[in-house]
Amino acid sequence: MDKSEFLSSLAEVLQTETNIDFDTVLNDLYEWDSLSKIATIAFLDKNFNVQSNITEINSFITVNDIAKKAGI
Amino acid sequence: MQNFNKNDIYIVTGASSGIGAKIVELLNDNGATIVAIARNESKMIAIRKQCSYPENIFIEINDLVSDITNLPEYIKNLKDKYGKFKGIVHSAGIIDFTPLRMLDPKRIKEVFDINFYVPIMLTKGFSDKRCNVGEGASIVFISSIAAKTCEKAMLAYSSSKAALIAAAKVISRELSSQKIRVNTLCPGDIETEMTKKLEEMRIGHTNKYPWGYGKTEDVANFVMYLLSEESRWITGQVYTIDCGSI
Repeated sequence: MDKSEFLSSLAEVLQTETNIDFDTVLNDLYEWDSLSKIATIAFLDKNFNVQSNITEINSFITVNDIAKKAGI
Repeated sequence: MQNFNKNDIYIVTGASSGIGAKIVELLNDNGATIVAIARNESKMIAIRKQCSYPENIFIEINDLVSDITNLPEYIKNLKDKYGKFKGIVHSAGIIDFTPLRMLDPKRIKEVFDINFYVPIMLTKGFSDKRCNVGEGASIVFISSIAAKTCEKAMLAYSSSKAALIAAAKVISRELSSQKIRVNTLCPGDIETEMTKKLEEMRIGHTNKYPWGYGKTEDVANFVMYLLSEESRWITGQVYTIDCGSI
């Protein structure tokens, strides 16, 4: 998955209409709620075979933190 | 306390971890023979070593989801090997946290395979008159309070455990004439490897257990009662063990 595919896939996961970029601050997204965080964990597991948990996800500041975790 | 003897042979699935391992230990302490089905051989051997009468525990390594259709035949083969069974406890299962938006049929099926189809097909084999002792035989399903609490992101897990409750009720009626008892337990959060994940993932988790999380023996002791003759008039029931949390 390249960077652009990652961003469009993540937008699907978060079900956001906001144009997200790697610098997007997660807490600025209306959709960044508890369910989106769990969905992100499932997204990382399913697509990148990367395990995470709520504590770690809560420590992420920007979209780039999710990308780094995914190895993008 | 319930008394069992060596001729009382019980099948326990998920026997190498959590609730299943504790049930094996208690049954063994009380004199029963156990056919312990697990995926992890080294863990199962270690558990057997710690038990009071390891010679009464027979290990069967089997990934039960690998051939669900043939599980009734598998039970028949185990009967030929060990003799007729007095009971079966279904404690193998997986937990899952996937919000609806990330779910697909494949993932739902994976959860249902181990949490629902496996115990049902094993019970199909067990319920064959040629495989069980008849009157006095007991089947225990381990469901979950998730079937009732239905928390976010637990659609597949909660649904699979709810389906198990309904199936157990039907089975209890079908097996009533054979005097085989069928009951279901719905534990709350028990301290096991599997529920550690639950703690890491639960949304809006609060400590809703006034006496803390449950221990495996809290469930296993109840299972012992349901397997024993002391519960001879109890069938078709669903019991919640959750420290009064729901």
